[in-house]
Formats: sequence, C-alpha cells, structure tokens
Amino acid sequence: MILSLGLLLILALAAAGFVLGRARLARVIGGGGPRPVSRPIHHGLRVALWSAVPAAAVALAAALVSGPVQVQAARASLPAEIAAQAPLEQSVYVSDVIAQAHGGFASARIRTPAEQSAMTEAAQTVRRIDQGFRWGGLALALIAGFLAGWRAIVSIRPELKARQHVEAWIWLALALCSTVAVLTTVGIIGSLLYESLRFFRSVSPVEFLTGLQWSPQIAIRADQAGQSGAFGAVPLFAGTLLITVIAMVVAAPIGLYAAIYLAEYASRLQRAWIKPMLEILAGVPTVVYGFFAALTVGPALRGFFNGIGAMLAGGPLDALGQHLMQVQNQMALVAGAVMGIMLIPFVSSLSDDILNATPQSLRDGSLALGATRSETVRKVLLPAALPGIAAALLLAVSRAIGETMIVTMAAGLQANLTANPLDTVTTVTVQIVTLLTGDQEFNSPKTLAAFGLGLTLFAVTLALNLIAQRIVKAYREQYD
Amino acid sequence: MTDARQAPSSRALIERSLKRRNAAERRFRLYGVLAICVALGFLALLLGRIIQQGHSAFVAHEMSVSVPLDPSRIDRSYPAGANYDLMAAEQVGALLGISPTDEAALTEVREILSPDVGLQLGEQVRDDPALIGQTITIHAPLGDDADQYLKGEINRETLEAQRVLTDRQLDWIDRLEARGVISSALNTGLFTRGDSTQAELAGLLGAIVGSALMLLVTAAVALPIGLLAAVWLEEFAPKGRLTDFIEVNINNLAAVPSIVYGLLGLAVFINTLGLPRASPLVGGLVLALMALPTVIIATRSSLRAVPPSIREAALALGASKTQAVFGHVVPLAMPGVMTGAIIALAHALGETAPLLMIGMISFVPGVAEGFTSAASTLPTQIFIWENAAERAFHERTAAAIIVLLAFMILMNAAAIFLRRRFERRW
Amino acid sequence: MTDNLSHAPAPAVTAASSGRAQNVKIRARGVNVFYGAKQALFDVDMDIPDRTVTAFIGPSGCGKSTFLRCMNRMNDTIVGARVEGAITMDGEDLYAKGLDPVLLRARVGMVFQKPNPFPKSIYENVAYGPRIHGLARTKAEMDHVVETALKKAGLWDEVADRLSHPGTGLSGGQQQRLVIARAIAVRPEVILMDEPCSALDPIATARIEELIDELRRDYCIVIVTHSMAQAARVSQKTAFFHMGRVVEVGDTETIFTNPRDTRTSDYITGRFG
Repeated sequence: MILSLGLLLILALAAAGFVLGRARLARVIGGGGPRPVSRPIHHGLRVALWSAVPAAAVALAAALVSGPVQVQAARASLPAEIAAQAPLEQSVYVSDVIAQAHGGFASARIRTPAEQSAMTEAAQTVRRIDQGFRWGGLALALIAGFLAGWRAIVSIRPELKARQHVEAWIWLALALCSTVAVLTTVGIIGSLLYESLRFFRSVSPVEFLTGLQWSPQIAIRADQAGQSGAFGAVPLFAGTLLITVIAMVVAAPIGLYAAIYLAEYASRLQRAWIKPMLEILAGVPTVVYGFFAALTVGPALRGFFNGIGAMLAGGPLDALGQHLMQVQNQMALVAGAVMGIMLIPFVSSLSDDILNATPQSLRDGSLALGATRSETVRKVLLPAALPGIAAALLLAVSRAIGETMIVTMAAGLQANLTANPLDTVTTVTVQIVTLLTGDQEFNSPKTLAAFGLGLTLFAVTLALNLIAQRIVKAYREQYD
Repeated sequence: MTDARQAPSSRALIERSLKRRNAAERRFRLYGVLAICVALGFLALLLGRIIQQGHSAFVAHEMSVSVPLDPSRIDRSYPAGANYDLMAAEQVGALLGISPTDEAALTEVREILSPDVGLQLGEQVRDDPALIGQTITIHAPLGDDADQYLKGEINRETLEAQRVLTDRQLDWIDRLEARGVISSALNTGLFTRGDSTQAELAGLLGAIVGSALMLLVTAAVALPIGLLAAVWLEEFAPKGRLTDFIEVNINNLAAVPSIVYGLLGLAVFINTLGLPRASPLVGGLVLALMALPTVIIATRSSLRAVPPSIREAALALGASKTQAVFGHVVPLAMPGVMTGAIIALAHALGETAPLLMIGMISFVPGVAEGFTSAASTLPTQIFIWENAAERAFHERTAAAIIVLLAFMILMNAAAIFLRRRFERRW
Repeated sequence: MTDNLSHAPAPAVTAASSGRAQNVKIRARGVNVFYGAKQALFDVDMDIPDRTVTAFIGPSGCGKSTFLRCMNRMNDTIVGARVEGAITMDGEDLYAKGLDPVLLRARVGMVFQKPNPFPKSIYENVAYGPRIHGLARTKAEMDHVVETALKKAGLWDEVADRLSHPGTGLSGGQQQRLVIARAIAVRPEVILMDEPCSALDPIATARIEELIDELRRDYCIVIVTHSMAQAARVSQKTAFFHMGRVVEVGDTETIFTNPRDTRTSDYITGRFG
C-alpha cells in the first residue's frame, strides 16, 4: 500500500515539476529577450526528472537500509539463553522475530514463555523501526524531490541546454539498464556464495565434494534421534552424470543425423516443414516432459523390463531375471531417455547452424573429386565442423546437468552410487528442490546444503559454457 | 612417357567400389530420415498421449438431487451445523431403495457424492433461511471416483478389494445414470474454480490468473529494461572492455540453469528484501531476470537489421543521437522487438523450477487477489496435481497441460503473425 | 643488321603439339541450361579436343562457368538447375540415366577459382580422392600415389618434408598446386579449371601456367579465364562466349589475330567486357 502511495506521490511531484518548469520558462522569456535554446517540453522534462529521480533514489535507499537495521535490532534484543547457543539458533531466533513483526512464516521451534515475551517485545521494536523507515523514508524522499525540483526550476534560463540535460538522464538510464545483467550475475554469485559459506561452516567442503553418503536429515532439536546428517554429494554427482550420459546417448546421434539430413539432403519444402516441427519439440515446457516421463515412459519401461525378467526367471539367466523384475518406475533410464528427447532439437538446431556455416567451397571440392554426399559429410564437413559440434554438445550437456523438472518428476529421491541405468538415482537438481520445498527451516544445514549444491551446479555449467564459447571463438577465427 | 591417365584397371577399381559406396550413401541418408522420423514420432507420441489422457477432463458428470430441508434437523441459530451431506445421501439412497437407517450403505452413498452438495446446501440456507422447510434441488459435480468410473477408468474386472469403489456402489451409479439423475456436461468448473483437494472441484482459474499476473510483472520489468539495455549496447556504448564484459555476462546468463535463478530469487527477493513468498510479484521478478538476456539479444539483432542510412539521414537533418535512435531506429526495429518479447514471454509461461524455489509448491485454494498474495501458476499447478494420488487428477493434469500448451501456441502464433505482417525486408 | 622481326607473343601452339592426336574428347550438341525459369545457355555446340588446352573467354555472366560445370555434372548439385542437350565423352552420354556422377567426376577433375584445400594435412588432401575410390590398397601404394601427384603438380620439392602439415598453411599459389595435385591423384582424363589464377599473384600465376602447359601432354584441359592474355598464352583452342551463346570457336591464334565475328573482335580489342 505504501508502495503505490509513494509511487503516486513521486509521479505527482514530477508532473507538478513539469508544469511549473514550462510555466517558469514562459515567464522568463515573456518579456522579450533571447529565444530559448531548448523547447518548453525539454525544460519541463528536465525539472520532472530532477524531482522524481532524487526522490526515488532516497526512497529506494530507505527501503534497502530498513531491512538490515531491523535485523540488527532483533539481534540486539537476544535474550541471554539464546545468545549462549550456537550461531544457527541465534539466527533462527532473529528470523522468527522478524517474521512475527511482519506476519510471515516462523520456524517450528518451541519457545519458553520467557522467550516468547522477549520475542514479542523485540517484534514490536522491529515493527516500529519498519514503520519509521517506511513513512520517514517517504517523507524524506518527497522533501529531497521537492528541493531538487525547486533548484531545477530556479535555474531555468533561455540559454540553458535543457535538451542535453534530459538526454544525459536518458543516457544514464540506458547505462544502468545494461548493468542489470552484471548485477544479476553478481547477485547470483553473491547469494550463492554467501549461503554456501554459511553451509560450509557446518559441513566441510572436502566432505561435501568427496563424501560418499548423502542423507541430509538434521534434527530439529539436538536430542532427537536420527540426528546425524551426511552431506557427501558424490552420489548426487554420479546420479547427475549417469542421467546426463543416457540423455546424450539419445540426443547426440539423433540430433546430429537430423541436422545432417536437414543441412545436406532436405529439399526446401521439407526444411520448411520439419524445422518448425522440431522447434515445437523444443518449445514444450519441461514440466510436460516430466509428466510424460512419470506417467507414460516410466510404467511402460518398467512393465517391459519386468516382463523380460519374468521370462528369464527360473532359467539360466535367473539372477538377471530377478534383477529385472525389481526395477522401478524411477530408473535412471526413464529420466535420461526423456531428457534426451528434450535435447534432440537443441543439438539438431545448433548442429544445423554449424553445418550451414561450413564454406560451400569444401563441399564443391569434395564432390568434384567424385565423393558421394555421405563421404563429403563424413570425411570433410564433420571434421571441419568438429569444434563447433563439440561446443554444441558441451552446451547440451550443460543443459542436461541443470535440468530440473524432468528429473524431479521422474527420478528418485534416494542417493545411490551406481552406473547401472536400471537403478534409481537422484541428481543435484532434485535434491535442491527437495531440500528447499520441505518444511522451511531456512537456516539449518539441510536447507543451506541446497545453496552449496546450487553453487556447484552454477560453477560447473558456467565452466562448460565458457569452454564451449572459447571453442567456438577459436573455430570462427579459423574460417574468417 | 607413362600414361598418367586413367588406365582401364583404375576405372575398373573405381567401378568395383561404386556399389558399396552407393549402398553406404543410401544407408546414410536413411539414418538421417530415421532420425527425423524418430524425433517427430516422439513429438506425436507426447502430444497424442497428453490429449488422450486429458481430453476426458473437459467433460464431467453431474448429479442433481432434491433435498427437503427438514426443520427438525437444522438449527436456525446455527444452520451451518446441520449434516447436509447426510440429508442429501438419504435422498439419493431413497431413489435407490436404501433405508435411512442403513448407516453403512449411506456412508457408501456419500462417497459417490461430492462434498460440494453439502456445501451448496449450507450456503443456500445461510443466504436465505426462509428455505428451511422447503425442498431445493442441487446440481453438483459427481464425486471424483464415480466420475472416473463412468469415464471408464475404473472397471469391474479389477478385484473389488483393489478398487476404490465397491460393486454395489458401481451398481448404484449405473442405476442413477439410467434414471437421469447423473448426467454429463461440459466441465466449466475446470475454468471457473480454483484449486481444491477434491478432484471434482479442482479448477484452473487460480492458476490462469496467477500466470497472467506474473507475466504482467515479467513483461513490465523485462521489456523496458531489456529494450533500453539493448539500445545502450547497440547504439551508445563505447566499444571497450566494459561493454565486452557486459556482453559476456549476458551470454552467460542466457545459459544459466533456471533453478539457479530460483535460488537467487529465494535468497535475495524473499530472504533479504522480504518480498512475499509465492507471490506473482516475486515470480514475475525472477522470470524477468531469466527473460532479460533473451530480450536483449533479440532486440539487438532487430536494431542491427535497421540500415545505417536511416540513422545517417536523421542525423543529417539535425537530430541529436538520442532523437535519431528513439525517434527513428527504435520504431523501425519494433516488430522484431515485439516478436522476440512475445517469444520470451511464451517461454517464461512454461517455466516451473524457479517458481518452486520461491514457494509456489504449496496448495493455494481460490484465486490470487493481487500481485502480493500467494498464487499458483499453470506449470506449478501441473506439478502439484501430478503428485496427487487420486486418479481423477491424472486427467486434470493432462488437461492443464493442454491448456498451457494452447496458451503457448497462441502466443507463438501471435509472434509469427506479427513478424509476417510487419517485417520489413531492407 | 639482322632483321629482328618483332614477334607477337609466342603462340602456345608449337608445330609439334599441333600435330599431336587431337581427336575429340568431349562433344556437346544443342546444350541448353536453365536455372529455374532463367535460361543461362542457349544451343551450345562444341568439340573439345584431347591433350589440348581449350580456353573459354567472354565477359562476366555469359555462361562459361555454367558450361564448364556441365562437363562434370556439378550443376546437379544446384537446386533447380536443368540441363538439356547431349554431352558425350569418348562417345558416352554423360547425362545417360545409368551413369553415376561419382564415376564421371573421377574421370573429370575440377580446380576452382579460390583454392579450397581441405582442413587436413597435405598428404591427406592428396590421398583423399584415391582413398575414397579405393585406388591404393597399401600404405606404400598410397605414398607412391601422393608423391607422383605432388611431383606432377610441381609441389613435391617444396613440401616433401612437411607432408603432415595442414594444407591450409600453404601460400595461395602452393594451395592451388596442391588442389591440382589432389585432382591429378585420381588419375582423371580431363581437368576443368574455373579461373584458377584469378586469386593468385603474377608469380604464382606464371607457375600455374607453366604447369598447365606440362599437364596438357597427358590430359584434356579446359580453362575458363577472364584474362585474354592468359588464354593467348596458355591455350591452343579458344571459345568465345557471349550472353549464353558460343559466338566463335577456333584455334587460339586465329581467334586472337583474325576473328570471324565482330563481337569477338570487339571483345578482344576491349570495346566491351
């Protein structure tokens, strides 16, 4: 509510500034004298910008400062018993105070009456601070805007290059918009690092990256059973790798052959129809693929393998038969195969672009020597396009590693270190989802582990993307 | 001088290998055709399966039952406390020849009905207490299991112990249908109701409104910022290390997994800035960040396509750089920009993972009221329903997918139409 | 005082070579070529003799390259191209239904305007053709084939010690000779050259022209060229193309000193083109 009120007031201020600015200009040149350099609209806009932007900046600053100040206040109010406990407990307490002040989600901790009354008092303080920042911030913003706008009006003269001023503001706005991309990257890296570092205070990075056991149960209270949590992420990496490999086994040959056909053999009419249809396959949301995997492919493959297992049971391959009868819906093969289907148009479209970029002179040279089309593709074009295709495959791998919905809906939850595609495994992305959509205990190692996994995921996909970009850059230099 | 030309033996050599090579050529071409057929076959299988599973959800069975509102069973001072479900069940039981005292049978009758019957009765009595003593007729959806039976999903061949409905329940349903008490009609509830734990009362209105609000936020944030950023990078930015750095950033962000954006949203928007969890506002902001690189890249290529002669002509007439760009170049690039924007939004409509991270995994009944209240969206609704146990949710999930795909096809078609209609060939 | 007659540039046709067997290698009758609806060649009749260099000259876009590409059916690779008429080599119809273009292109090699070595080693570039056609069974045989071809192309001495280096690392003139070696390695009967020197400097051009003069002893060579001086230097027979038609065909000396058609003389004297 205060957001809309504030926006309205700032806009009103700007509008007033606009009108007053033009009026001022009219008055200044009213009695004859030099013609103004800029048109009235520019002067009006200049004043409007000088009013609105400082006001908005002050309001934004107040909003940003308010949060940390509230957290500080909550922290300062820690009762002695809480202050003596682990930093984790303290931070849960602080979150609960803030939640109480704003009416949000609190943790499920059971508090003693003394703690509760301390919390309520602290929450009231926090609420007062919050209100103070909101209204005070708005008032300050309006004052700032008013003063700046006033100064802008007073300084209106005919020689004033108002248009250039306005264009400078526009220039600034444009540049700021471009930095949003950088800010996003900074935000991603910053937030992932920050939360991960908190995680790594409880769990060592070595154990995380090399441990073989993943069972992230964390007790709510220290005296609950089942309290030990193991955070070795290697089974997750193995599961991700297994599913990625299966996906690439499906997507790479089909995608490449499809691209070769489209680039070298298809007629214009065929291209005009097939390419859009492959684009449709690419546009299907991954949640739909997940549904398809869970409800169609999973049961179908399970039925198939169970059937073969039943046939083999009791015979010479009895052990294999017994194994096949045990396979589940969530075997890695299901999620991997469906992910491969999803990646086919990705691989095909990139490879098609790369093949089309190879110079026609290579084709002509090979055909003129009496090579068939397939020999030209296999022995001249593919080797020439190899770096580009390698980059495309790396990007596909990166996509597969970061894919979430298909595996969440079709793969399992149990960490399992195996290379058998018929086993159920879990992946990094599935665990991130599971950890963060359970009971929201935001500050426990359990949920912070999700950020550790997220950081690993981001680092790996970023590395793959950078390598792919580098390969493409080197390859392009070879041909230009 | 030795004859360096093709001796007959050389020609023979070539002819000998020709057959094998042509066979290899045919095989190679065949692999290409096969690959395309496999890919398109998967597409057909996927879409076909979804339509097959979901089309039945657009039709639902209804029941109409007349219930006399016995004053002795309704407390005027507290009408909501009356057992309307039982009263309705007794009426239906009466049609089937079940005595009002047969509690076990009546319980089974109630399972055929939807709790909506009792809810409607209670609402009508609350709104108009004068109805007590009269008989009112209620139209309500049939219970989800009964509905599934009539659609053929539950059949008598399975053992009674493994079924959700007993044999005599199935008999009753058949008799009621024969009498016309149960009829089938278009499932408008799918589009007029919000989510519900009762499958027969679950609809997509909440999800559709949530998605719409969220896309509004995404568009409002990503399009202006993306357009202005692209204009800066393409027209104004000085060539140098800083600009290159920004471009590298944009290219990398386009390839970051969507779940990482969700983590960003959770850590920054929800935990640091305190924005409301699971709201269209936060969802829209997260998706806007995801869509931004795509919008910037598409806008840049549209700007590049405008020939330099336009800029030069404007400048030669005395316009400043800003006036030339915003007054001439950007309007000419607009069709391409809009196309790219619509495609980016269509893609954002289908994103699920980041929305799960910001909390849109919980059950949200009803319709979101504003940008800051908890909402669900089409993809998250699909995810939630997919996890539900009741059979009836299978067909509804598939129907929700059909609705989602329909919206996406519409948006993409609009983008293509725009491009065809307004595209200029320079 | 000895009477130094000022010589015209020494004609490439020497008495000895003009007396050689000049039976017709390729015969074209009534050839019309269409690209979609547009006709590029009208009613072309021509006899191309063996062991001779025949030059096609004429202004840009007059169909020289189109006709050249008819002779090894490279026009087949262009979508919408249609060839009518009869072209025969040694009496065999090149466009007969049963004739495999793959086989034809092993007998009729081609060198392009811009040198196009494959991004492979020098050795692999030359070995490519023989390898796919199965012309060498052992490594020793292939080494011999590669060496012979490179020697014939006059490149062996320069690259013998770096056969494994990439072919794209050579200079422009060397690349073109590599491409010629690549074509020769398949033991063709005819070599078609589409403006082979237009991308090269004068020294490299001179070397290629020398090479062409040597090669004509063993191969039927057809060269499309923009440079009349080159045609005069290198060829024994010349055909003048204009707007998709063959205006005049004859001995090079005759064409350049005493053409029959006015269009020919106009082109040669530089009135147009």
